[in-house]
Amino acid sequence: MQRISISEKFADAPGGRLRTDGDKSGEEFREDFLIPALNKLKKNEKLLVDLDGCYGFPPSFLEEIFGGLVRQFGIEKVRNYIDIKSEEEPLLLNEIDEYISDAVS
Amino acid sequence: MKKIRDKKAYILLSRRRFVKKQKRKKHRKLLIKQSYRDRIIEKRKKAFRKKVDKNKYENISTPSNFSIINNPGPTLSFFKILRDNMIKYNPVYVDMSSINQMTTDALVYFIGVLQQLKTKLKVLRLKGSYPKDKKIKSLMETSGFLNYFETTEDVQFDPNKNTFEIKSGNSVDRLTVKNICQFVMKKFEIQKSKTSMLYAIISEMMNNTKEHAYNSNENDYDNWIIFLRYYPNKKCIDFIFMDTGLGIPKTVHKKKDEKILKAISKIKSIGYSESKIVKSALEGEFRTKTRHKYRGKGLPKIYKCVKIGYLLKFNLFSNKACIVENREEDLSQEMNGTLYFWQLTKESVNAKDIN
Repeated sequence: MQRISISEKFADAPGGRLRTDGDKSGEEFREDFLIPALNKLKKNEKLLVDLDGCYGFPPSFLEEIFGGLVRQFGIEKVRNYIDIKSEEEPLLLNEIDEYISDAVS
Repeated sequence: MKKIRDKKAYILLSRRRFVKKQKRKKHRKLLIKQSYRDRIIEKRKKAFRKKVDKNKYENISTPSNFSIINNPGPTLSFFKILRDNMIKYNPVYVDMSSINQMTTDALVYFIGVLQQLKTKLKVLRLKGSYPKDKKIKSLMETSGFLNYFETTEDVQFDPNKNTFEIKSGNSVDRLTVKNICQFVMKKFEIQKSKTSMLYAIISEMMNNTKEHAYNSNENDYDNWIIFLRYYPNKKCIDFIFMDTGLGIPKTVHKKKDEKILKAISKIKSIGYSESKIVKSALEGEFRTKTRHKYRGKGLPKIYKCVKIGYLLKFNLFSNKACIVENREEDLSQEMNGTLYFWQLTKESVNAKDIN
């Protein structure tokens, strides 16, 4: 399983939703880090997105990452290829699950 | 003149002539418009210079209780008078000497109003006096309010560093939010994970300001302002966040019946309530103007933090809407933009199930 840590690879203080909202946005992370990492996956391999180590996550940031990914590749692909780790804030997982379900509608 | 030999050539030529004529007409109209605009600007500048030369400053006094939270009517009326005068290019003298009670939300709003006026006016002519009350003057100095003005006096800084000076910006300033979290962690002696919700809330407020509060994103001036102050005796931190944008009631989606009620309310006082609209947006009703179900998650998350007791003494003012904890009412005087006030204590940040 491949792993990508937001605090190590991107920023410990994430920004807003879109690039126009400021630096280190959800859009930037999805397009420049997450999608390239997904493209590098081998067959039947999964990507673990590690949320630990950050100061916090604005809802817009998380929605743009995971919701944006669903809108781009479809819900099945996201559920099949991505695992999320959040030991510091386990309830964030429910929140992200909601963003994934609501993303298409 | 060209000789016209056949009908086709005649039509073609007359068409060209017509287009040229239209272009000339358009250009002439534009020139007239421009010269008219220039004349108006020159006229205003002249009037402004005349007033400044005569040193005729319009004297405006702040209310003795200078606070939007505790005294919204008179405080917002003061700002309306200030704004009206400045839009007319009247030089203004703000007399603050009579203030005997003040909360920093009024200072933050003051800066917001001036930032907003800067987008409209090229010149701001403003003078003022300090409050006579030493404690209030000191609060004014330590808050960082005077950084936005030119002053001849030496400004005192907070020796105990109990204030996080007023900061402003126009995008999601994640480093400021990080510094705020570090300030809270230091004062309450808590771990980073306890401030994650605060980080999310403030960043979301900044994001909302950037995406919804203004019609155009090409605003050079600061859109949001934040200030926090630690009270060692009460062991709490007061937060003020504001933007001078369009306000939540104007930017959220309204239902058909609300639109009708709003139109009627301009003529007759009727059951249209901006605070009800804001409250429903806070409670998660589908009100995002983008009409996407996946948007509009920020305000409900903020309100969730109020409900579970993470944010205490929550106040939200936006246009006429006023939400104070669980109570909501419409203000008689409208404010420009949105102002949030809340308090954190060590106990509240340790509250469980904050997600």
